[in-house]
Amino acid sequence: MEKVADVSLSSSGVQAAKSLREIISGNSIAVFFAWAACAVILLLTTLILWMSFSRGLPFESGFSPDNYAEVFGSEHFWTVVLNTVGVGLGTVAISIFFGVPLAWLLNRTDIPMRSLFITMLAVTVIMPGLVKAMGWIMLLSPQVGLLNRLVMGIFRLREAPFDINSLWGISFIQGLMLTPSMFFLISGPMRSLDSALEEAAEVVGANRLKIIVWITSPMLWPAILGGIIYIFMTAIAMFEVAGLLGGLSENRILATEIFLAVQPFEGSSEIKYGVAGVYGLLIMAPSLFALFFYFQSLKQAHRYAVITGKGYKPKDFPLGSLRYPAILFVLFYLALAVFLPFAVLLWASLLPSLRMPSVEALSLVSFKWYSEIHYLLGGFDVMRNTLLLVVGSSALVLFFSFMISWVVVRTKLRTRRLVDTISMLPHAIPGIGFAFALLIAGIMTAKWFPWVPFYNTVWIIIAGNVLNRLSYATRITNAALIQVQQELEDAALICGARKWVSMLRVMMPLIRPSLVFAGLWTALLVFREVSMALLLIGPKNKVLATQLWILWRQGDLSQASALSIVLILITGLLILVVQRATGKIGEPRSLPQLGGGG
Amino acid sequence: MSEGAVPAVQGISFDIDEGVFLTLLGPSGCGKTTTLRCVAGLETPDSGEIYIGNEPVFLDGKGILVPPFRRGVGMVFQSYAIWPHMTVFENVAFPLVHGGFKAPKAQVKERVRKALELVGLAAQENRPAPFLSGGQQQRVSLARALVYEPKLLLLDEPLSNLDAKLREEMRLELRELVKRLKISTLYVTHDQEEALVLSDQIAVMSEGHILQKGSPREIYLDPRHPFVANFVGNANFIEGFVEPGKNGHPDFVVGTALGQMSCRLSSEIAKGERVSLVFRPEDVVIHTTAQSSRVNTFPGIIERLIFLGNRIYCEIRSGAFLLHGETNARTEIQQGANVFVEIPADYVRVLRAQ
Repeated sequence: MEKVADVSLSSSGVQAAKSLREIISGNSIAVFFAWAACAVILLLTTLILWMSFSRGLPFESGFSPDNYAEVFGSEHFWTVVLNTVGVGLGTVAISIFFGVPLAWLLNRTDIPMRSLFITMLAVTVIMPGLVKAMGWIMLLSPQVGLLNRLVMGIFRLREAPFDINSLWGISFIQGLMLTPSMFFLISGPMRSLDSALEEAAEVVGANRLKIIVWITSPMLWPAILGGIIYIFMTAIAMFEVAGLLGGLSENRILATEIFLAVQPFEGSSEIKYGVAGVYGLLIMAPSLFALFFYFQSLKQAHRYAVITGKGYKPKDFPLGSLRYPAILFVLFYLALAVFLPFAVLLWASLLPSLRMPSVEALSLVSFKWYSEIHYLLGGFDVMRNTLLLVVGSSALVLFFSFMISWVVVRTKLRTRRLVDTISMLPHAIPGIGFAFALLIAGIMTAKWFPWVPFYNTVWIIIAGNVLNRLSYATRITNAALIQVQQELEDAALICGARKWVSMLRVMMPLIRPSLVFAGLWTALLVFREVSMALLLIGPKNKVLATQLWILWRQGDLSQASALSIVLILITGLLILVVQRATGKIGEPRSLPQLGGGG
Repeated sequence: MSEGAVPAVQGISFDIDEGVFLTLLGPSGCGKTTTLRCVAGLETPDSGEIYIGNEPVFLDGKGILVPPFRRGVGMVFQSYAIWPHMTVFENVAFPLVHGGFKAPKAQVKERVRKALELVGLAAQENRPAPFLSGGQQQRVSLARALVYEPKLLLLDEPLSNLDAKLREEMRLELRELVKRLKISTLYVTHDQEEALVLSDQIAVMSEGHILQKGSPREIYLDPRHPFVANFVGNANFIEGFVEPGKNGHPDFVVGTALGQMSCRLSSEIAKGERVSLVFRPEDVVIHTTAQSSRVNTFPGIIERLIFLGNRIYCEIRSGAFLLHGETNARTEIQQGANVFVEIPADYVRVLRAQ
């Protein structure tokens, strides 16, 4: 008889494979691309650091501390820092003011139309921050603001009561924008809080207010703290609102200073890359610090592990007659965040120039701007660029996050934790920091390798967006891949499929719903992203979002309004597609994607 | 070995002859699944050699490591690993279409149908895999492993997720199928009955070692290790010292807590050595009256009786020793009764004490 198998093992570990060569042989594609993405992240981060010590481009000038001297010695320095902190705290305050009560009302009470409201909160992303800011300027600017003029008319005031062009204004708008993030960050913990813990307090005679103050709030503290840190980080790195409201020269914050240093079209003359590098680091430092605390607070969360896997249903708090004020509160937020700015934009888009609603104004209403939409959109090139940007970014984000997650979740490579951490870095480094580093990289490329089509092309904006979105997308793909049982992949290998065949034919189809979800959300957020794009555009790579900014800066409020409405409609369409394709909007899962409100 | 991991396998060696069904039997954590996965190529041993056919697939000395997709083995997983996004047909056709066993399109259909017929699922071709019951998924998994006619079939506790009745059916069906196809099989299970029913050969494993390898009959009737005796079936253990035979008995005698017991000693065991005597409950003969002339007969009291339907299980106290025995279900016997237990010398195995 012939031997079919002969096995002799002296010792074999529980661990799958031991040497790097063995593991890589099966996963080389994933390892290669994951590390390529990580290398770019690290290189660009290093570049920011390098630039802060360099007066010119890298390799062309030596290291010097002059940039730091210039920044710290500047008369504006402390103003800028204080303004930035102020805007961060103000944004946090507004988002807590709205977000926490909303989360409680919509998750733990018997408020009517609950799921409708949750969906509406989720789709407030329909209105990009830039557009929201434009709407609010038209409502509350001291010169043209419709609300200001209304109040002045009623109370016969000489001066406008509100000034949106202030730190308060920036905080207010950013706070409105980030409220949904706060809401979704604490909704999960709030929903899964075991109501038995509240009932226990009720039994020993505590009244409702006391229960909320002493039981519910402390248990939610880790989630709220995590939310605060996250909102603060996002707020201080946000550029577009402050850029629009301060006209870049008032209300200076770190994000606008970076922009001013490298795009000095507003007055100042000299391009100061090194100075921008220092500002970039200044934004990054607290973010990295905050990210650390964010992880800590998540780690601590187990101490409050009242969130059991048991199938209990949290008991809804009966609102009784308080339910009308509660609905009003939800509507109040939605009005401020969406309805009012949308209404004023729509109104402005139908008029030759902004004016108060009146019989006379009504007679001027026309669709003139919409009939010129092709001109407003900036022509065919802008459309093509935008399409390439959206499709290219989503595809690349999906590809790289799949590869990174593969290494992190499905290999036993020792460096996988490092890959995971590096892929989280873009979460801490503001988009505008990456955009700055890419700008430098782009200039260097154009200088030394002019034949590489990168600088002043859509690809440089795509690169920025891909890096910026990678953290969020890898969270989704990580979660999805963890859920796929190892044996499903093993079975494909045993059937004689190579690793990449099993990825393509088995693993990818299995997690397709998550990939679709991640891809569409990426498309949506890339479409409305403007901060990075503004830093990276030149004459040849304009996209829709920057086109809107340019129109507004040129002073064409009505034209900009018309374009905003078109932008909102396209975003709305995208959201509809997401909803249709995945049915996931409004689930707490969509939280990290929504979090990228900036 | 890295990061202080405990080796799951600590030196084992076996081979599988053509058409032989070999089972690795052992409790969970004994290293049997690790061994199977090493053969499949899903895990890599630290050292050793694995040949499939005449090809080396792992030789640590020469740095040979053949990846799983080139080993050409078939495998059925504990969880079946049926791909939920494909139909039954697509699952079974996968090795022929996307895998390493590419076949012309015309043949694929024919071969998949044949494989599905083998497992009795011919009518289910176009059903999406998630709509199948556990037993049906099991069959699809088997068909997928057989469709490319592998040299070696690996089965990783394939029946453990089925309910008891279905498990018994599938056991017989699997045995039938494997015998008919004459396919060499390596089977992993912790279920001793399964191992006895299915196998040509059983290797009993514990803590990374193979303790004994042999036919089901040898493993059950002639256990060479107390663990084997206890893991495969039930056993009584009693310790003692070997003494020279007396009273004209040809055999040696072992002094135990029960008293002196006659038994057959293998030549390796010398006088004076400490030994373990092993005998099975079903070999114990229970007499209700005194049996003066018999050897290895001891008085006792029935401490507990459990009626099992086809037999009665008894715990009998004799001195300090509690003895497990079995008797025919129709035996009239009462708890607390005085009995005499006879342990036939031929059925007592003498093992060197551990």
